[in-house]
Amino acid sequence: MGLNRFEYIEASSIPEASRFLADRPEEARIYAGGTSLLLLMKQRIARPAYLVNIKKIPGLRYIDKNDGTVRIGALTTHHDLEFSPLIRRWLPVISELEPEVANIRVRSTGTIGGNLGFAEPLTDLPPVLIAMDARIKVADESLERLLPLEHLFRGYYETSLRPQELITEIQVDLPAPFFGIKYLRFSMGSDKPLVGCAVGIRIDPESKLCVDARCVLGCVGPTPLRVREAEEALKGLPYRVNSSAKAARIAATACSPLTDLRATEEYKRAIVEVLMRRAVEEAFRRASSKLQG
Amino acid sequence: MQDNVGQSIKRLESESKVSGELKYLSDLKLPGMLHCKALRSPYAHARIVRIDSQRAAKFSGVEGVLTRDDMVDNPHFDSHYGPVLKDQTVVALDKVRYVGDLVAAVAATRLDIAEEALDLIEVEYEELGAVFSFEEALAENAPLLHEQVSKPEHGFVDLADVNPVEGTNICTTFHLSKGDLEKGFQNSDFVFENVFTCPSAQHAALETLCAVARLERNGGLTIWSTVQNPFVIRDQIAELFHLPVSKVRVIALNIGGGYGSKLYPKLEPLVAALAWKTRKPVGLTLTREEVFQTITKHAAEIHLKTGVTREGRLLARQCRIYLDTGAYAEIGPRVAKKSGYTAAGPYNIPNIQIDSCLVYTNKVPAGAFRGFGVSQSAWAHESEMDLIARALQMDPLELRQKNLLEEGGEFATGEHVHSFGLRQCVERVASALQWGEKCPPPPQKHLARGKGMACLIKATITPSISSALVRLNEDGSATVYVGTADVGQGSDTIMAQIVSQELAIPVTHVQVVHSDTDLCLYDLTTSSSRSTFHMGRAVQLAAQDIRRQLACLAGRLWNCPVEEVLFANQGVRCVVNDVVHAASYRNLLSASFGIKGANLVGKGTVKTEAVQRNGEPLTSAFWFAGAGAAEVEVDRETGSVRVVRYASAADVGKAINPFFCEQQLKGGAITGIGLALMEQLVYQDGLLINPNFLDYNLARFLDIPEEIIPILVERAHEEGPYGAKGVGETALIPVAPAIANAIEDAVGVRVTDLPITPEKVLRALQEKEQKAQLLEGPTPGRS
Ligand SMILES: Cc1cc2nc3c(=O)[nH]c(=O)nc-3n(C[C@H](O)[C@H](O)[C@H](O)COP(=O)(O)OP(=O)(O)OC[C@H]3O[C@@H](n4cnc5c(N)ncnc54)[C@H](O)[C@@H]3O)c2cc1C
Repeated sequence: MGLNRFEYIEASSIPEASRFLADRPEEARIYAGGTSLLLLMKQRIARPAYLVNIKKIPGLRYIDKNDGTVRIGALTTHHDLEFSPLIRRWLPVISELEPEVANIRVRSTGTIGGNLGFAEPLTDLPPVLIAMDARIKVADESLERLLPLEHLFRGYYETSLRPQELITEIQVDLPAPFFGIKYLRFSMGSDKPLVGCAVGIRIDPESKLCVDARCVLGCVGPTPLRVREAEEALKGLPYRVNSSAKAARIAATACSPLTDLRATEEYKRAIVEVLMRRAVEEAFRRASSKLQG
Repeated sequence: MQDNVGQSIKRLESESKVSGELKYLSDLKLPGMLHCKALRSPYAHARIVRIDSQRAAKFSGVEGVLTRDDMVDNPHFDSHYGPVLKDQTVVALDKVRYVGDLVAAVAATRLDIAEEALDLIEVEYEELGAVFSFEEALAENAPLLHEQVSKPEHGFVDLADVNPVEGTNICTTFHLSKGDLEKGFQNSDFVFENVFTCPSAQHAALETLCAVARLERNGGLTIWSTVQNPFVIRDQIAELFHLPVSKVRVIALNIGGGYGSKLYPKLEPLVAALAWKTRKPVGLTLTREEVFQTITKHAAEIHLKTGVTREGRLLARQCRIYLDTGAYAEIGPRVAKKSGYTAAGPYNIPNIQIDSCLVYTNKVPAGAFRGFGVSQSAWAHESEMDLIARALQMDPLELRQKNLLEEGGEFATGEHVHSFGLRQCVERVASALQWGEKCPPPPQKHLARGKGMACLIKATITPSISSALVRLNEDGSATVYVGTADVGQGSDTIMAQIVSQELAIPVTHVQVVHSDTDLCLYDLTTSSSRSTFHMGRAVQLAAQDIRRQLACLAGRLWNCPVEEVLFANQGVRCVVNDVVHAASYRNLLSASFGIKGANLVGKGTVKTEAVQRNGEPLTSAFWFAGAGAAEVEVDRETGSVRVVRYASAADVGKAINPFFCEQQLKGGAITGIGLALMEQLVYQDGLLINPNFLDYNLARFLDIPEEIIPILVERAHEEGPYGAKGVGETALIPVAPAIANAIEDAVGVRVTDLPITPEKVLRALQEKEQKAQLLEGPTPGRS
């Protein structure tokens, strides 16, 4: 089926876009790269009367670092992230995962703002960014607010954003020393992941014990899932096969995957367990490798 | 010369493809052309109680709506068509038979108008019981899809003997037997019985289906279509519209991939009927989702029973094959027959019985698919070969070597195969992967590696016919007219290389005019990997016809014997009494005819027969032999499988363009990996729930093995041009069983139902472990 008829608006500033969205809360949708939105429209799941193109808004596509924080403009594409030297230097876990995201066409037009704002469960960036305690900057016509990325996601395709709000920036603080992070993604024959698992581990350089942990799952529930119980199971301990296996089992129980075309619930839980175990091991290894230099 | 036979020159149209200049059919915009959109059935099986299109017809911008009302008692065209059985209708008459079946169509000045107008067509359905599985379809008292089916008056010769089984959902059957099956089993030391299944799948050609029709002033029809066999479409449309074939012109431009999906009528009857109704050109381009609802690959269930001796000699094999052809026969009967011939595999087995049953179900019709039913049967027989080898504790290569059909051997059909380099294919893929050497274990303990192989035999459609014309122009360049459609395989280039070879002119001076039924002579089809063998040979004969004419002209001009005339550098040469005469074609033509503008026309025809000179049946003009071997890495904890290396060998007879042949082998390997590991159409109550490339998984670049090793075996065929046979389908067929066999080698589990998803592998691994634990019994200390 073709797209429904819609009116296409090009916003030239954030306030302008926000005003337009505020006036037509039910009918207007932000249009960034369009990679996700147009698919929904093609299937007639979404039939917006207005598309507000925000790509012409200047100054929303950048990757900077200052004061120990990496700032990524909402219009930054997957491709930008994949090839940015700054990302490679400071947040290499993202350069590592990007080549596996979607396909080359989606990566060259899909934006990070759209990736997060869409709140689709089958994505890679949210779990990784949450494992790094990322924040997002959200703006409307006159105000800006910062919120932890974790608080953005409400449910399947549902965010805590108000209709007139846009994501303008993603902020990630530089990892603490002795922090290691690993993201593992399982997919099969599809551009989208089946299960994603991000684990961040900070160790004490003296004792080599884990002092902080992040265990975040993607694709196995309505929103990215931080498994705090698994994090607790790792804290205060050095890397051990037993404790990582325990955290993995906790994660496999905590998530709520659905049986779908691609795999059964049972299988997805099994994959969560395997990925978590492997990610914990690698995150520990990365955290300790910083001990040597 | 650099660019003739045996040289890997690039495709003539490569640059225009890369630059985007090359036009595909959806680029065609005729003046006044209307856009068509089809209304499709939401039910798997339903009676149409009422259909009212008046509101849609009055909608502004709509120029015509086609419903069953246009079909009933229309003296201008028939309602029924179909290549083998006339079970299809232009739009639904009394019933719809699958979700997606054509109910009506709108032609409008704009596509969005046509689409909107669909909502205004009122249809009242009465749902009927539907059948989705073999069991349901074959059950007693099952609801019937077709109450009665007729055959076309002038059908295909090779299918004259196939008939629907009235009062059932059995579309057609096929039977073949040789020797004494029961005796064979009695003499066997072991008998193996297994069931293998493969799901329906998509061709996934990049270009979707598209057709444009224009009614001509003389009452004829011109149809542009993405079609691999334009002459079959011409015949079907001529019959449907009661026209002589001279009044129907079917044109296929360059096609963006076919793989079997673009054969036989698909959209042509519909756009032609709308063009007739509106008196304006009508075009229809399907969306991807609609292609999924138009044509698929046959799902299959294959029961094999094999008797072997202790030493590994195959004595008897019984194959019972069920093929799901969906709601319409399409070319299914030929799929059942052709794959039936080879269902017991490329082996020397004295006692064989094969029964294929083609079944109607309320699902998307299935048709030709690269491999034409043989990938399904090879999945079964090649998986079973390894199961047997394992049980006999024999190397799977050795088991195959012991039983392979050899040059001159007698096949299941009773004929003796020749030009059949199967042994080389099998042995060369094995050595390419260092068969016999264990794979080095990967560093991570959860990974395991293994190797597996598979081989195949496939027939080409026989009897068949192809004719070609070659025109030598006044300047010595040549124009070739072939019915063959260039679907990306490079047929234009191959034909040009052959003319270049025969006439000693550069490929750049050869123009290929293709797949236009008004300009070209009859060609049965671009499928069955037949074009190089048949059309290539016809082009060679046509070019040789021109050589003969040139030799006569030169002979007359110089007074020399025609057999002494030589051809080089776009000209002729002859030495008469130590005097060298030479002339370019251009000069020879103008000197001979005394005027500029004389052309020569050469004609060539290749016709194959169903019986050989020695009286043996000829089920295939040539036999394809091929083999594949895979090295895989299996993750024991997730069940995921990665193909690390793949070797593919095919006996191509003679590689006219080795690079093209290698591309076929590599492309077949990649497609095969997708079909082996991930592809499958999923239905829920008759509704196809993954009709797009987000939900339907295809192999992606990341799934391509690090190394694909193409191996060309060249065992010349005396009737092929320079010995060439076909290569298009060979490579796809052995991939899935080779991978399944490699998986068992790696981790000791066997999956018999395609696709081999990680979940199936993991489950099999878990079951194997549970079994092992049970065998070990309770561990001491625990009770
Ligand atoms: C085939 C395919 C495969 C994919 N595979 C993956 C994958 O493997 N991993 C992965 O992480 N992702 C994947 N994605 C998702 C991909 O990352 C997103 O499509 C992309 O990043 C969305 O960006 P966009 O600019 O195209 O968004 P659009 O399609 O333009 O918008 C999507 C939604 O986000 C909203 N939106 C856009 N920008 C903003 C903003 N600044 N503030 C608030 N809301 C906004 C829009 O209103 C809309 O609802 C895949 C997508 C496709 C189509």
